[in-house]
Amino acid sequence: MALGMDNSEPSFYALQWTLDHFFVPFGQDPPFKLLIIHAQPPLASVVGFTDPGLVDVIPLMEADSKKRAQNVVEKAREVCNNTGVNNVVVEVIEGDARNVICDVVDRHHASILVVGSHNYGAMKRVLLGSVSDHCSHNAHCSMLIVKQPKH
Amino acid sequence: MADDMGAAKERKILVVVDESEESMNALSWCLKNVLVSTSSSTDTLILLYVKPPRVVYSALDGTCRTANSRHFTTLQSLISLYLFDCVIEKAKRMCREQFQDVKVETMIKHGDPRDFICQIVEKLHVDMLVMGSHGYGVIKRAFLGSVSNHCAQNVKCPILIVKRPKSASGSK
Repeated sequence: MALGMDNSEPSFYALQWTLDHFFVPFGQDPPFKLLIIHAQPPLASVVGFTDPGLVDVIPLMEADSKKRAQNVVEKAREVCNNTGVNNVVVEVIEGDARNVICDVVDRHHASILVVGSHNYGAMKRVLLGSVSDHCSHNAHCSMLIVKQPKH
Repeated sequence: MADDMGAAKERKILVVVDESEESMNALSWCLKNVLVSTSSSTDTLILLYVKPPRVVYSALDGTCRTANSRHFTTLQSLISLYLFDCVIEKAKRMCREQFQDVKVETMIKHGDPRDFICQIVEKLHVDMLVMGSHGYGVIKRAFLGSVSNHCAQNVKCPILIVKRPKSASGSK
């Protein structure tokens, strides 16, 4: 079971929800193995243009985004351990989230893909693009979109 | 939370059914992977069949008798009720084969599937919604519209879209 994550609250909610519904009831013998995918946005999307002065900054930015990704991974592992789920594989891959998720799903032949949903409205979806939309069309496996209940 | 592990979790799972093969596939996948027979889970499975209103063109024959349209709609609704019964029987049989103690409820509604599904989810406070996907490409989606897409964006509960696994030949 593959789970796409970024650093947002809906993702962590989705992780917790998945653990509660698919792993906790089964105790020591869950029917799925959890694979967490974290897509690190490529540096090219952040650095727009090259400039002689930027050459020094690039390694710093790389280190920063690696650290951020590491944070997400650690937080995710902590959540899993708190729920008592061990044996979790976490993969951090650089690239655009949509393609990364679909690729990893294909590579590992995941049977379900779980993603959170930012709950964008129609306008934001068109402008920002929705990872969950894209994955639901292109992933070759069943897909579960976990939404945070609005209060 | 460790103390919740042994407690019974009552979940309401709504599965959307129509006459297509994909929704039967979705139902059986859901049964196999989501409802695993643990003695402490008391899940309720709700099968929802939404019949979109069919447009009936009344045919005027040579003598301009329009009473045919009424008979036609009655016949149509009888046929669709029969279809629905077959679908529901198949679904119930599948459920019973796998799990004896899961509660199955069925519902039939008329109207636009997208709106109805969202309304029912809110009304019944469903825990999870399961639907199949026809696997349309981009153009078909633009013309026919995708119920699963619309529901995924508007429904307030987690939604599971079950696809039939394509072979890795990369078509489309």
